[in-house]
Amino acid sequence: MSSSGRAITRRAGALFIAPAAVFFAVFMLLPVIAVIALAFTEWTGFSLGQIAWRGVGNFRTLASDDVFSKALVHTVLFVALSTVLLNVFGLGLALLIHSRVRGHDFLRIAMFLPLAVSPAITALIWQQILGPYGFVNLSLGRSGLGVIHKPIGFLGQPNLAFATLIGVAIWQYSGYNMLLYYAGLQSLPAERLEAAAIDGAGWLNRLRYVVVPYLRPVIAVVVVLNLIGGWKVFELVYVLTGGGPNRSTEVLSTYLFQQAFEFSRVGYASSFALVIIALATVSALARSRISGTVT
Amino acid sequence: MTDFAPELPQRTLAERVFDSLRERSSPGRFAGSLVCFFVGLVYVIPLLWVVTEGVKASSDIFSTSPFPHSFRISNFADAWRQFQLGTLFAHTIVITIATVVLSIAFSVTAAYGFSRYRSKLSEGVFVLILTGLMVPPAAIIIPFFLTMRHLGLYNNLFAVILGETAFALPLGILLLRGYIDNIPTELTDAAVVDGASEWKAFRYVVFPLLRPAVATVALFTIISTWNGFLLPLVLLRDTATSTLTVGISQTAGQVGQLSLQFVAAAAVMAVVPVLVILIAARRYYVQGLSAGALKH
Repeated sequence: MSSSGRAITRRAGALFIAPAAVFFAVFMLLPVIAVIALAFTEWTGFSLGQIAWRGVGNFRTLASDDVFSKALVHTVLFVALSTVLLNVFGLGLALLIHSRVRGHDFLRIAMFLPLAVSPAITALIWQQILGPYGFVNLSLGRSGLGVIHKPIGFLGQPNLAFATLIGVAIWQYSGYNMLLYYAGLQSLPAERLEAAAIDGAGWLNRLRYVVVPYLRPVIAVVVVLNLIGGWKVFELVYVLTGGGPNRSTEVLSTYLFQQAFEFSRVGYASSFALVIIALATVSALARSRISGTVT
Repeated sequence: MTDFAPELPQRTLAERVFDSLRERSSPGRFAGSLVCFFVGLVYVIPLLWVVTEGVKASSDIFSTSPFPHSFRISNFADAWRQFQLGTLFAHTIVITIATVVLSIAFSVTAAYGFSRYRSKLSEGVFVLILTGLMVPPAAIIIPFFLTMRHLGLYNNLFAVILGETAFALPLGILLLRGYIDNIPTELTDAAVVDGASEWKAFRYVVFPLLRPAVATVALFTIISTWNGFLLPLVLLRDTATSTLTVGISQTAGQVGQLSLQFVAAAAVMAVVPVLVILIAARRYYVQGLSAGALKH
């Protein structure tokens, strides 16, 4: 649209763009380049004179670091599982709200609320609710069912803690997906669904042959947004479990924080950052694959 | 009115009402309503829990009744002191306002430049800035921390402001450029022909039209900055100099289970301002979400 009209001069364009471009270069681009360089060094982070070049030494170390491989597996699992579940719940509940059954407004508002809550506060609230003497365990204990003699270790048992983390992430973020899918459904022509229903298509077939193909571009974008968001996970884990128990919820960002700021292994921790950046880049490139178009 | 056209194969009002009633009470729709209700409760209960917990007396904190037996509004004053919320609020407000102002100033001008001046170079810079959307804060926190300490900005709110602004820029530029692309250039053409400079044409003709888009960007920036965690955690030394999210979660870890009601009260106070802003401006939020995702 604007390209048909008059463009501003080269000089004016440069002056408008320069402040943001310079700021971005200094506070985003340079740190990315610096962390890539630091990944090949050994350094405690104090005196610049002590930086020692280590080549690929850090990557050799992390290949044999059990905690790193745990953190890597957990991070990939977290991103994959949360993306799948966020989309299943997000699309499913958006369809339910779109169908305007009674109570759909309550669900829409309820899902919207966690979007205002800081992940750190979310983690704090759920930590209290799910603790051994938290609301859930006390309620179960007093429910008179008599089956539960011991509090359930939602955050205390290694295998359960990771599932709890995923659940809390779904609580925090599913509203985004619901809103995006709900917005996408607004433009879905009702006749298409009706025509399919008249042809005798059940809800599963209507979902598969009408809704999903129609929403395909939206799904592609939402999946990539979830993948990108997933690699950013930090405070949800840091506050909810601190990576425990026994490293069962450790992710790359929490392990990076520990190595860099508690153990002063700046070079080694930087090599995790390189891994995180590589994973985030690969998943961002996946978009053209999912939507079937090259953009 | 339908009485005058009885021969048309149209359903009568009675038939339609009957159909819609049957529709409403069909087993499928009833099950859907149940799902809405129970799933909705899962989202709401933690927030209700934290409010009721926040007004309980300490003798009552292990009760699971949805209605607290005690009602102590004074918990909020106690929590305010115990968590030093005055200091934490002041820091969070300063960081949030400064980040909003700084990131909008940078992104609105850049978005205008990217929209109105197009070359291979400017498109390349635009795409490069968009890649900032996918950089996880943890990935660059190490060099960011080292740089800020080197500049003498460690434990200074300004360090957090610079970082949050860098993370807010890409989305701001993306959303604002999409909006400016839809503003006809003829508007500024007229102003420039009349002798206005490019800056004045932007400042007095285009900028006032951007109010809804600026509101959307400001809303997203307020939420992400107010709720930010890693930057203040690393760049500010202790609770006395920290922000709400970091200060409350760190202090909560120290006070233990018996002060649960104060943790809850502090959490409520930290969440309420953003919750109120988000609910009041939800229209901008939803518009921004779809615009950002579609343009992405």
